[in-house]
Amino acid sequence: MKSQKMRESTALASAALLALMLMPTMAAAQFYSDVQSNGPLHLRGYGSFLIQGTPVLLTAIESGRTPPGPGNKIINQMYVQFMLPQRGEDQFGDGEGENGRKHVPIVFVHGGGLSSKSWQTTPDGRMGWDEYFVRQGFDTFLADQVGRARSGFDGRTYNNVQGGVLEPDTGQPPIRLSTDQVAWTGFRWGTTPCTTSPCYATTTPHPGIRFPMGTVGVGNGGSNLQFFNQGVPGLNPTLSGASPPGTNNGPADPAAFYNTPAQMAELAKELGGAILVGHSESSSFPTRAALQPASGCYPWTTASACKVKGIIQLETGCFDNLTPAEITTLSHIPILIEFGDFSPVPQPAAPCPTEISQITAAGGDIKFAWIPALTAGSLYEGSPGPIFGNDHMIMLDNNNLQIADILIGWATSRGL
Amino acid sequence: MNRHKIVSSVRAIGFAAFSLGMAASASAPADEEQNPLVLKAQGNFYTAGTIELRSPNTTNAALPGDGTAPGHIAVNQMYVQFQIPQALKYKYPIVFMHGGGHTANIFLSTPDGRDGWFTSFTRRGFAVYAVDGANRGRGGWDPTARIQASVGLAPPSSMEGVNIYTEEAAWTGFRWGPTFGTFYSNTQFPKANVEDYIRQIQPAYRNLPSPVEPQLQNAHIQAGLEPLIDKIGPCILLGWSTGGGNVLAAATSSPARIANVKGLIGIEGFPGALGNNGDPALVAKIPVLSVTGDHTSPAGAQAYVNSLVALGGDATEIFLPNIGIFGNGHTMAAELNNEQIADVLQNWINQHVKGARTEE
Repeated sequence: MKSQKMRESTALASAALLALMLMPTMAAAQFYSDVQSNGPLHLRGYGSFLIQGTPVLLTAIESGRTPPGPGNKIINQMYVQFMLPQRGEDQFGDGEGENGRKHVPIVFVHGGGLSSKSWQTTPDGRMGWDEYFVRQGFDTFLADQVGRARSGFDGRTYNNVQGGVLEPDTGQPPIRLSTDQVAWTGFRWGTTPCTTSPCYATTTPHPGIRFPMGTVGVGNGGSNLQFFNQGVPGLNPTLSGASPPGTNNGPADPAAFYNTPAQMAELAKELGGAILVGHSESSSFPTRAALQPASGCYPWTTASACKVKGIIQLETGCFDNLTPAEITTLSHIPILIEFGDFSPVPQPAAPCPTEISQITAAGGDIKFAWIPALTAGSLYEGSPGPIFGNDHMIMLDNNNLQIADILIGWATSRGL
Repeated sequence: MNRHKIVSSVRAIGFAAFSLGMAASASAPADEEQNPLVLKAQGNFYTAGTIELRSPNTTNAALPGDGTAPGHIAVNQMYVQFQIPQALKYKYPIVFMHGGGHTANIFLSTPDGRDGWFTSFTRRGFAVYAVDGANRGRGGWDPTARIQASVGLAPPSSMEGVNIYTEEAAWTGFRWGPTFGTFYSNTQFPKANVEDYIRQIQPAYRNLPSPVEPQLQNAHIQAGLEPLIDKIGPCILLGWSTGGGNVLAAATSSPARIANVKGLIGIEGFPGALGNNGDPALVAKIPVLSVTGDHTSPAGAQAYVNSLVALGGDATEIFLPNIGIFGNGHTMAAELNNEQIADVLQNWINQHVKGARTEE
């Protein structure tokens, strides 16, 4: 059954790729007139909501309005978009009936300089993980990090700087940009770091890389740069909780308050239990969320009280400073850590071995999936062997559904 | 008849009613299954925007500890999400354009957790598109001026400010009540969900003082709508508030677009601000519906509609109290009777947008 599902996924991805190759521009595949249906999608719900933030009183300058309008505003809220599959639908028509199976809801939180778009339609127009997980029977929730995209941001700082209340060099946190050089180097697309823009003209992609490099200018002289549209400058440093203040870094103490993880814990509670997925900048957030009071997981009492039911860390997110009480909590939550190909150092790299050994010693279930070094059956019965060519943006790679199947297989094997 | 079942399912997920418990919803009562949303496709993409080089002198690359590098970034792009129903009953998709201080979210779910117009019109058989314009939500923006101020290349006064809607400004500006903290007795706003609404209001990433920045932002939004119209072909544009001006301007920006736009709907959005509203002589070539809620005067919208009719256009102003619908504010898309108003919009489309229905 599993292998049949895998073939189906691969065939779907291949068909989508073929269709895209035949089109004059890849972006066109995403438009109404060119939509390639993946088969009917049966939903019992589609929508959005926001997790409560913090009320603040704005000064006249902070409101930025003409004429000035001081008053109440909410900051630190978190935007959540969801799709809920209809129960019992066989979305792919393969007769397996897998889609009627009940999973625990899953929450995806994107990485730095990005938004929930990371999990949606790929830049070359293929199905994203959001729709795929729905089709596999998961209630699927995408959260825009606090301070980013539809979550809004705390604009007071900028108005205070503009209005002369704060100094620009000290009062205004840096704004992190996801430039092409950041992406090519940080996402492990090039065989060497990119130091000259445009990177598609100056840097050689890894042979066999699975990222849709045509969406970052490769092979088309920069005529298609769809991926970069996903970049949203991060305003996290405007928020409280960063350490040191004004940076993109979370607090060193994994149980300390941090905006997005605290809201993820609230969300897990409201959902009555969820698998939390973080990526890159947010890869530590599921663990941080599990250690927030709202999760019900820390300090550990019972499995039913703990609403973080599984942790998936994409591209690391480990700690080497966990306390015994924190280790106790994390040893009760299944944890899967994923890392792609082209790593400059062997994986798992520090601090993951420390966390893995501590949680394993405490009787926990923590697996590190270095994708190009996988051993068949090591994650769950029937899990695949090595897969090559995946990069940092694994959810957008041309085998993204194959990778999703690994996460789903892992969750299923843990009763999630 | 089953809509309320879907509604209750979704509402249970919304924070507004979280205390009712997600567990009940997740256990999937059987009758939830009776009115599923069946999609042929859904997804999202970006339009417009430009990829621009930000050099070390204009980025914050040199700031310690930030880890950024110079290079190309996308600015001013528009985020677009779509749903296409399996049972398509209309030939022309509807494009939903939000207003200031908002994103596409205003059309996705109401503050009390019910279907917004985006999904409602999908259920009615339309393909639907909703956008996040440049400078908000998942749209792109250009932080250069702010970064230049940070690194001392420009005075802070040159930075764009941030226009933040306060609860007080929203309350009276959106006509939930006559004064902050009081509701109109007939308000259709979900009174228990004010905070749920306030959370979705967000500042544009940047606002220069009027009139410079509004024009700049509207130009970016128009630039995002134009290729969308070109790509999806014949369509109906709906603009709310300042979004009304955006759709008027985009629809009339070329002969091909005038031909493609089969209907223009303004939710308290017409005639739009001067410089962001298209040439009335061109607008008059397209069927136009303007809708105005309660507790305000429809005189401006009516005068605009009259001017379009005088130009030979098929233009209609509906002042909701005149058809017996009372209590709606500026935020009617998110209010308790949003389905009733959607009925009004659909009826207008049926009567005024020729060839809209697939069976015609």
